[in-house]
Amino acid sequence: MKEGNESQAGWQIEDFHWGAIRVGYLISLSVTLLAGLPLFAATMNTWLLAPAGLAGLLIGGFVVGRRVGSKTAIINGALMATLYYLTLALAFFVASFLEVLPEPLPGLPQGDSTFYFAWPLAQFVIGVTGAAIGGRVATKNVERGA
Amino acid sequence: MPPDVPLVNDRLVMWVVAELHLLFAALVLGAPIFIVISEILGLRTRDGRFERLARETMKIVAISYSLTALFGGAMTFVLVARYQSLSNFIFQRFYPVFGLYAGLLVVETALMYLYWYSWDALAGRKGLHISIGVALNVVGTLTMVLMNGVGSFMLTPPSSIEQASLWQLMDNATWSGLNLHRFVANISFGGFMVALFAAFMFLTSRNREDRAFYDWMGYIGNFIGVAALILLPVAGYIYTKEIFAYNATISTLLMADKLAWFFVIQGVLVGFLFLGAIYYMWLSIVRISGGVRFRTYFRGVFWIALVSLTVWLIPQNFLPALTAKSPLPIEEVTIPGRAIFLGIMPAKGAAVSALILVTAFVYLLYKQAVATGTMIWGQIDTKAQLTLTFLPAVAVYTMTFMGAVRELARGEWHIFQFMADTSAEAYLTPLGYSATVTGLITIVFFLLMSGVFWLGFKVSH
Repeated sequence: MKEGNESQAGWQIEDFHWGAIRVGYLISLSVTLLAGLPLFAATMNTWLLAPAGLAGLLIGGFVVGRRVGSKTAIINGALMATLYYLTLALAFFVASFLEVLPEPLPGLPQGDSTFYFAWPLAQFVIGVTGAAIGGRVATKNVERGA
Repeated sequence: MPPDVPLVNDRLVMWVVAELHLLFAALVLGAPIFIVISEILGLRTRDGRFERLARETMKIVAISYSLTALFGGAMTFVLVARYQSLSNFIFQRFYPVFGLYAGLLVVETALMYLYWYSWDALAGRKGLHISIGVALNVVGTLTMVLMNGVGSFMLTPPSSIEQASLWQLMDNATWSGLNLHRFVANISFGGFMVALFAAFMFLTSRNREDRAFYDWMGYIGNFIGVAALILLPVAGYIYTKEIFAYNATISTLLMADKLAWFFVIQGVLVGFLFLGAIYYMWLSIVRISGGVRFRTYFRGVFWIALVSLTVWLIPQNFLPALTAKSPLPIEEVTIPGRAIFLGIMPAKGAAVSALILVTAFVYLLYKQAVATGTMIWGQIDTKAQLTLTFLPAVAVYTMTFMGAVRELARGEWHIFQFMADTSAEAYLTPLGYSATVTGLITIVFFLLMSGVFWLGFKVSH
């Protein structure tokens, strides 16, 4: 009844560290835009957005994990990666509705939606992995300091 | 079948026995993976509940094994008696495969009974007992892989069948995709069936200790079921992509022609699975001390899941029913211009990914609640246990329904573009008929499973 006792004692574990999530999210999006868009513009291949985005998520996830520590790293990393994906999905839906996106996107075959499955799932895995690594590093640093 | 039997025909009989065989086969293949892992966890953690879970589930597998063989035999009888040219061809060309299959079945049966009956005798030699369980799983998976080769061959045979070697027949365009899809689906199915059994036992138990155990068991079963379910759309996508690469006309028939609405129904069913899994977690997280604090996040997840599901279900076009008279000309029954993108694959892919991601997120949230709180087993809303019966019902219905779609994908062929189906029932069954038949198969399967649970755990006690 550890948690119950803690709740009864009048405090709760802080599960989500919104400051850390915000920083990780912004890093991920910035890297995607700063590295992904030039790559896309140079090759006109949408697939090249994916490695840039994944690199951003790895760094962003690491920063989140580093800031929150290993106990809550995974859920914070997962929330950051989910918000990142939902932002991209929303942008995609709005741009499609406004008819500013070509169909298919440059570099993607007609009728093939592999990109729309593979990239989001990889985002989640990489975001959570980055956070888990960051969390472990944070814990090790604390142990070393202690 | 005699022509004077009303409503019954060869295809219907084949359909029913084949799907019942496959459902029981999925159970006896999927559950042992779960069972051995539970036994290993029991050994490593010294938590006696894992051992009990493994043992009680194995009892269900042992009873169900006979039913698997029974429906497999019935399927073979119907195939040989009513589809002679097809069965002659299949048995001749795949003779070594069927020989190996028969041999593996003998080995699998021996291992299954050895594993089950040596449980007490090898209590002191757990390593050996677990090794038998692992061997059972390896042999079981091999038998599935062999029959997947034959099944996938019928849909995607190599271009020159007469000259092809046995290996070329087996290693056809969709063998790997079907293997992957069935393997993941069997684990998910095994998890959900364990959850079903646990819910059945929970709801019929009077003893508080038993209710606590079956609550835990349902939780474990559901967790495994959901974990594999999250991967299943990916495996399904890989499989469908292989079909598309083999022959785009099959995919067109499936996704954009007469079977397109079957996929809308599939979307409804898979969506129910995801929503049901989230709902169970939302209900049951309350019994974890401190878990209620996570409930806030579920609300947003539900909304995102619902919106994603809605996008998934928007059809690209509407096919007119030949018998119904539409009040509007068909060209006017369309999605508004700017929203037309919602009917095509990129939007659906993005929506399904969102559904998967938010489910994975609450799954991790639930794990976090478990890691930071204490579970009070047995104190769970009855609705959660009813959800654990709903999820397997939808999982079974999805399996039977999509199994039918896979068969219908061959169109008028027994073996695609090689051996025509010249029987009286060689036509695409309408959605209503297919949904009814697969629904009835699901009900029969549930009745049989209820009999298995009742026989194994109520009568024997």
